[in-house]
Amino acid sequence: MIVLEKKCCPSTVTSSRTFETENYAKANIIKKDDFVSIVISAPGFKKEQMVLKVDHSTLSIVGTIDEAENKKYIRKEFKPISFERNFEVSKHYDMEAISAKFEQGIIEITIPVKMEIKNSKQINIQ
Amino acid sequence: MLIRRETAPLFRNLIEEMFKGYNTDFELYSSNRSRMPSANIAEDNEKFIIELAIPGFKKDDFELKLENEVLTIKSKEEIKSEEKDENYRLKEFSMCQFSRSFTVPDTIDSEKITATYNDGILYVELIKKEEVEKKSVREIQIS
Repeated sequence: MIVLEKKCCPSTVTSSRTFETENYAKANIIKKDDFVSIVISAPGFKKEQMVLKVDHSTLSIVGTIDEAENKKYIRKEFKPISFERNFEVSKHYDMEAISAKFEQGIIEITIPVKMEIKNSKQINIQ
Repeated sequence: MLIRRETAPLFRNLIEEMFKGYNTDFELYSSNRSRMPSANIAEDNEKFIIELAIPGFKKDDFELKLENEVLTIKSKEEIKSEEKDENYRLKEFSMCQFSRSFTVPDTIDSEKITATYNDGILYVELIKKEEVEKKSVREIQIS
């Protein structure tokens, strides 16, 4: 188990937001040899509206957006809304070396494998 | 007896009709099996705005074409599709080739269509034609 989705507890987020969270900020998790990558799709968000938090082995991504809509929509299929997603990351990965980049509505978080584990693997092959 | 005739057609949502880019149109205009991204359409007095939710691209990755009153927005062929051997532990969305078409009404000035790509949303602005000025009322003198 590399990264486990942790559902946010209802007391911190209103119930309507929880439902919308599941429908809006979609995530992909990609495992590579040296790192794991969590990619979240959040079109309509700016970098300043995203907050990443690391608490021990829990990674938390919170996106906040103002709900004010000035435009008159005649068709609406998507709506950027505030979301929160939490992930439980296994000890295999080094949370201290976490990095993130945000571009055009996609946030990509990279967590490398712990050095000791990587090195120990190399020794075994020799 | 004066018979009143209804000249205006039954009101359906004419704008909706014009902007259908959905199932049937998609079938017609898209030659490859590509994803269709979500779109919002907004309107004000001067223009229509189509917002297409396509995060993770660069602005050079798509092309917009207007052909016979159909506006097609699609990703260019060179975009490499996601590697099949990527080890996904969770996959809720994909960033792959897409295409979406919209029927554009003739009240739009086709020379004045612009697009900008911000925060993962492509905003396409379609400026409406200026209404032909109504001829002002002329008084006719009776000689």
